Amino acid sequence: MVNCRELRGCVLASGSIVEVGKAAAELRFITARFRLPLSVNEPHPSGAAAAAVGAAGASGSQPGLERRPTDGAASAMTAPDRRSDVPARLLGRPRSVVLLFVVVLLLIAWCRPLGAAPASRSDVSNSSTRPATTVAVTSAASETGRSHRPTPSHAGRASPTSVSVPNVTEYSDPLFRPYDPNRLYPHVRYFEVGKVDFEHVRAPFVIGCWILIAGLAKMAFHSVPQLSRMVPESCLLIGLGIGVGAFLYACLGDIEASHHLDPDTFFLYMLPPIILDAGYFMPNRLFFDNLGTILLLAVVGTVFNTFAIAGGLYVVGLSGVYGVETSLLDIFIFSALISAVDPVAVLAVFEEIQVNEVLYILVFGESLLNDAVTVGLYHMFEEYMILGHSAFRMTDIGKGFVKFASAAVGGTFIGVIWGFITAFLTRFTHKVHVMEPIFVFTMPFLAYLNAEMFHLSGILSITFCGLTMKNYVITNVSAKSHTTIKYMMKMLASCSETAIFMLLGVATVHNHHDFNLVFVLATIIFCVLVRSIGVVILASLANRLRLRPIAVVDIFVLAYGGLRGAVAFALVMLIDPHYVKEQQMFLTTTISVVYFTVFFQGMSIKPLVQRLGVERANKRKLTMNERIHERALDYLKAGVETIVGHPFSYNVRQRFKQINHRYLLPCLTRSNHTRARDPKIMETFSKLVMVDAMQNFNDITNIGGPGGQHLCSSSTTGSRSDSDDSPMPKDGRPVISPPPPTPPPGPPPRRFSYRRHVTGDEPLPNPVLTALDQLHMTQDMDARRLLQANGRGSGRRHSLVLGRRRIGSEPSRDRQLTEAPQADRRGSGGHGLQYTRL
Amino acid sequence: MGNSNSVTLQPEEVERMQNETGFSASQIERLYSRFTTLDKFGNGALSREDLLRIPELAINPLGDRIVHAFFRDAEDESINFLQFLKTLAIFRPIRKGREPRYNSREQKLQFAFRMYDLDGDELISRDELLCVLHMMVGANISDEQLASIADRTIREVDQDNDDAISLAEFSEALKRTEVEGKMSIRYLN
Repeated sequence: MVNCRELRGCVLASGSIVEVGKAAAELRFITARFRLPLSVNEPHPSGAAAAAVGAAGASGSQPGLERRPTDGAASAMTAPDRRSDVPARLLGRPRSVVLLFVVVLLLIAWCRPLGAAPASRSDVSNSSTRPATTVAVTSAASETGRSHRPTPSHAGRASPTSVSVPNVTEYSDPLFRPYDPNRLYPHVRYFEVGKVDFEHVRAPFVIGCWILIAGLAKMAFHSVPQLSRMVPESCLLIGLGIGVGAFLYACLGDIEASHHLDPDTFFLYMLPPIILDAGYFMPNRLFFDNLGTILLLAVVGTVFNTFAIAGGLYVVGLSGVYGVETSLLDIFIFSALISAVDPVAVLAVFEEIQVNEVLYILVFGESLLNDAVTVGLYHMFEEYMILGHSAFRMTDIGKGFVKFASAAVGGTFIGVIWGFITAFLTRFTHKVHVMEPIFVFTMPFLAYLNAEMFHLSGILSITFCGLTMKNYVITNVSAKSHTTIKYMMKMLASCSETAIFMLLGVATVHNHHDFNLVFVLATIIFCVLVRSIGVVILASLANRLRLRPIAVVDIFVLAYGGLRGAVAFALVMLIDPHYVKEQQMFLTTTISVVYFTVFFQGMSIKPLVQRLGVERANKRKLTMNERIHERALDYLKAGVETIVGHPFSYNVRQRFKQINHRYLLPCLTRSNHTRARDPKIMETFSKLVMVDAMQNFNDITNIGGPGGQHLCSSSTTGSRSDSDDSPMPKDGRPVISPPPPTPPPGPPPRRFSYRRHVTGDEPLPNPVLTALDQLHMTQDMDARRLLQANGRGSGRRHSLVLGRRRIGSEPSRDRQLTEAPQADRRGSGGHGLQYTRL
Repeated sequence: MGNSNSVTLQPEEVERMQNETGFSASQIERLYSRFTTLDKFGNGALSREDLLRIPELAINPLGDRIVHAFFRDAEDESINFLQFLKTLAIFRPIRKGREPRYNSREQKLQFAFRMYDLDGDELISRDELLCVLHMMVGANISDEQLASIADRTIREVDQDNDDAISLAEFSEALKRTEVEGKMSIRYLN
């Protein structure tokens, strides 16, 4: 599962977290030897705290041992009832728990020199990982032990005294016997009541600890708003990471960087969630609208960056200012990885500064897509390196570019295929809703691995997988599943992101730095310079073709937002020092560049954006008009392009829509609830209706004394009911109902019973609206109760109905419905009933 | 496309059109060849059928309406090249520092408005809106739903309570929309 090197690093790290002030090696030693009696049924204590409390009780209960005067919990050996209430008391006082914990750890550590296991008679039953074996050997002991055993469900409550002393005395006294590692393993005869087996849980425990720290850190930052306003989270996390790293350094000594942030772990486990999140929540329309510019920046820009930085560094290197010899190929490898803008860092910073959406998608899309280029170039140069100078032929250059093109195209292709498969699978999950999120997370991950397997661009693959499946998945899965997916994805991504930045900080603190100031400075200068030049050239090129040119300030931010991050860091660690002598120097330089961009640029970009007056994101909810008319404008544009005979035009989108509607949707989605050609219009409508309903509900619940008319006047929109079926149609409005051949008899359906994916009168296939309807129902009930409680008679009922329907401000309409109360009774579905029973 | 069309425009004609519409000479050239391609009978004017014959336009849900908007000012149900150019000039991208000729935001909006306004009374009535909605959303949505959407849409912007959307109300509704981009086409040179 988890990479060994990573684990080792982590374990070392968490060792010191657990055991304050003691070396982890020591702890490992201790935990291996101290198999403290807790209870038979819990060979692997579930939580360290519980185990420790239990251990405290146990170790304190050893009469024969020299111990520090034990604290209250530990000394309570003879009174089971008293001990049992210890956890309860402790729970009430968190500080005492921590104190106790620390004391216990110190105790454990302190008695190590004694040599023996916790060295108590009850504990004599040392180490066997398998109770069964032990039982066979020391059946008598185990019998007694079992018979005396209190309920072992809670480690903290387990009574060590239950192991009766007489049985134990049969054995030779193990106290003070020199430590013998062999005794730890199965063939030993002692029965163990409980033990601390940290080794057993080490890997997941340490990972858990990291995540916990990361989460706590994030929480802490956000509880100090001034801090999070000034400094981006990524900087804070790196800072924290450095702190933790320094602490570990002080405790554990020097650890290599790769122990903390192992490239394999990074690429296989930490990166995918972030990219999946990015791809899944990618605004498709915006992305494809700007695809040309994004590709230009990502492909041409990154290639230009790589070669320009490499050239610059090499030329500077020729003068010998670095003091070390760097071959051209070394420089190329380095510049390939340093030139790519990092999606994680960019996301972290740009999420916060909220620039306008076009700028955002440009930076963000570029950072995602340039991965293919980076991976391609990196592997290309790596191949050259391995081939060696002698075997290098000119054709290899061509092959390198083919490789790089195939990394991009292949990665995308794999991603799209997996995306469709995912969509197809979710079509069949409606019987087991709980399984829905599984596919949405597993399949993109597999897509990523699949692409990586062929050395294609995994990032592209997972991005496009998320992007492809999104629309189909949304229609297929239930509302709850989708909420789960959304939260889960966000959570995983922010978890990874936090961990990445923190580990980046931690991995900085070690002794192996090879800080070459000239090289670092040269790199930073070239990175900034080349990026600026590249972006300015490419953006002005793009502006010639773009309908809506990129503003000058936007270009500046685009250039300035070229942050480097963990991807470069992980890639540089992948470099084999065997081939590249200066790997360590590159590593240090990469760290410096990452720090420079994340700290300096990341922190200054926000004030800069404010100062320059970069257009900010205006997050708006589309009104119905905007949705409809904008859609119409799209068709109009496509139509005019057709008339003009535009060769490559807006029609691509329309063509895709057509194919999607005709073939893909029926194939990939369940039932026919998406047959509306334009689900977006429907979506907007139901959203707006929902907002209205909530607004109305608030209106109703907030009424003090005013009557129904007041309620109604607060509403601004109306339902369709008043238009079609009102006995007094408004003048000027034709009473025709153009398309409907049969205007519905009776009252129209209630507005919020409109269902996004249902056509006609079918029973709700989509739980989205079932959930919505349930919500409405509860609201109805609440409102009803309220009205009843206020003692308002049936006269108010209509006002309620009116209010809920937002019939609007025209008094004539109100009158219509008050005059025709029976209209409600015929309401479609359960809502009508709700009202008539009032 | 039929770029090698032999029928050419006179240079002075081109210049006049350039001044009038803001297209460059090469763009006019290109558009003229397109015009002649579309003009099946070669009578120097396009009829509705000529446009509707384009297959892509036939599958465009609003294809009918777009053609309708093109022929709004045409008296005899046909448009000549200059009219054609003038209509297309509406879709020229707005460039900074250049006086918009036909392609101002207002003119773009007006063209879009005409797409809805079937009867030419400068109002989008509820029925007209419903009709467009029907074309866009498709047949599988129940009529009540569409009707309720139409009502909602009109009520959202209807300031003078005439149950119709006037041009002013229309542009007010789209004031946050980036019409300039959405209604601009990159004409090839």
